Amino acid sequence: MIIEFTLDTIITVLNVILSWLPDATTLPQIVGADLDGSLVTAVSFLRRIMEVYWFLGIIFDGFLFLLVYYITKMVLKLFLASRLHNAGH
Amino acid sequence: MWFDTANNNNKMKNTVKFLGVFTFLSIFLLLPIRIKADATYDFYATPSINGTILTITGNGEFTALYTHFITFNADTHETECTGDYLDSTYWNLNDPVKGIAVRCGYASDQGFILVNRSNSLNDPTTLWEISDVIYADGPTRIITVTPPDLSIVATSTSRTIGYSGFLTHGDFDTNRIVFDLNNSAVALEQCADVICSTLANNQIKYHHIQPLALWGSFNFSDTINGMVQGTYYMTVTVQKGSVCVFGSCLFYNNITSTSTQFTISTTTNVDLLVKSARDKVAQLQGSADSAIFDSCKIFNFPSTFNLFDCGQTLIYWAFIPDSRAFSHTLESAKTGFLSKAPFGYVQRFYEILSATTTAPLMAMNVPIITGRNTDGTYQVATSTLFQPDEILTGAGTVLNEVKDPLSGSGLEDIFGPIIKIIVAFTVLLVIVKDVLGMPNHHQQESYRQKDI
Repeated sequence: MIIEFTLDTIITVLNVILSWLPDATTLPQIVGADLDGSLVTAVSFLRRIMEVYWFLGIIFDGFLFLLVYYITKMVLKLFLASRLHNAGH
Repeated sequence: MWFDTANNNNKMKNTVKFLGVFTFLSIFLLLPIRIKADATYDFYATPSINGTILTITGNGEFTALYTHFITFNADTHETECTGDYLDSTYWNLNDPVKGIAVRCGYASDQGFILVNRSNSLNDPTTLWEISDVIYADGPTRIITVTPPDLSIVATSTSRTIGYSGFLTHGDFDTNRIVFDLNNSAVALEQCADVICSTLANNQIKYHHIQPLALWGSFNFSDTINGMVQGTYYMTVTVQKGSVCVFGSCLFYNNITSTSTQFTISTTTNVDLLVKSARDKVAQLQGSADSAIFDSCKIFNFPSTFNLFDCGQTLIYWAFIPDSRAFSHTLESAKTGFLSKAPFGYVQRFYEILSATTTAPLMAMNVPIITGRNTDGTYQVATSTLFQPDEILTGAGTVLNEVKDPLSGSGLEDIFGPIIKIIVAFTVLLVIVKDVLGMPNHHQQESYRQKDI
């Protein structure tokens, strides 16, 4: 309950503080090119290849896991960078 | 240096103190709330009598069972009434009892179960005969509506609407619930069953009919999209059919009905924080209210109270996050700040990469050039349709047909787990290396060069 409570409070506060930011639920269009649609199609093709060559799928899943790790690290650094820096002094 | 040991020890001590005080206060302040929780009186019963024990079973919660024992003296034909309060689902009818009428009810004392003893009055082994049963379930009623009456709710892309109630045994026939919702004070014409439509000028009407096949509790909920700001009017009506053939009735009479309204409006950040705090208090209250704290109920001593179990429960409750609540929190982050720029782009990128949808590879026409014209253009004799997906399918078939002759296992069955272990180990190694800040070979070389 305490961990839930703390996490929930942090996320609620972040949701409120960052509510002014624009919504970004799809990738943007760059000089008329639909980045979102193109990437979806490209990944669908890749997944088709991975469906046949199953070992590529396993490697890709490993890569995704790493990607999540680096994204999480990036977000934490963004919000806690100063805190982490100050902790050493 | 990241950690100042003495300073961190003090911080740790303070944190532990805070957690201890917080847990203590949470439990002992919320216990009275749990005890005073509203009684559920959706109680209907099927009594059975065996010897001197009368048992009532039902799917209601027997939170307040008031009984009145009326003793009948067969010789003098006098009756004597004694009131009693029981909180159990059965009780003994002490012998000798000359005759008895048992009346059960909830707070408003509606409904009763009448039990008469018809055989030999002094024979304790004689079964009691149920001469008449009136279900103690109170009137047919609509208990809750969602959103609640006169509530003000924040704008959202989707909104849950619904109701719950109780249909009594006495009213049970060919029943149905009619649910209407609209955002206009003027009644709109009804649309077809179970249709939600968004009309012009942001008008919304929702009409739903729920047939009831059983008596007892009923409920309904749905999610409706595109609800704009404004006042909404809801009507829930419980109806009973008349002139019915095979479940279809010509007429319906209202048994009970309720009309409520709620408002959708924009909320400020302060409203959101207040709502969040209110939800958390309700969550804490709900936790303290649940049966997992039976071992902590000191008032139940010695039946369920157990200090050791209570301690275990408290530690578990305080420090082990509930998976559902945890995923709800993460979902809140996902739909909250993680859907805003720039995090939204990262999240979307990950969503696309992790999607499992496949698409067949594109077929393409490849021209076959047979020569060149005098004007420099190419002579194209024909074109061949190149279908990479078919090649891929063929490759897949070949791969799948490679099998171990003894076990019949395919390549994936044999090598899949090995490759998974190798990939998992590599990923783990990369993460560990990153967390520990171990420099790679090139960095080490550059440090060495600097030292030189």
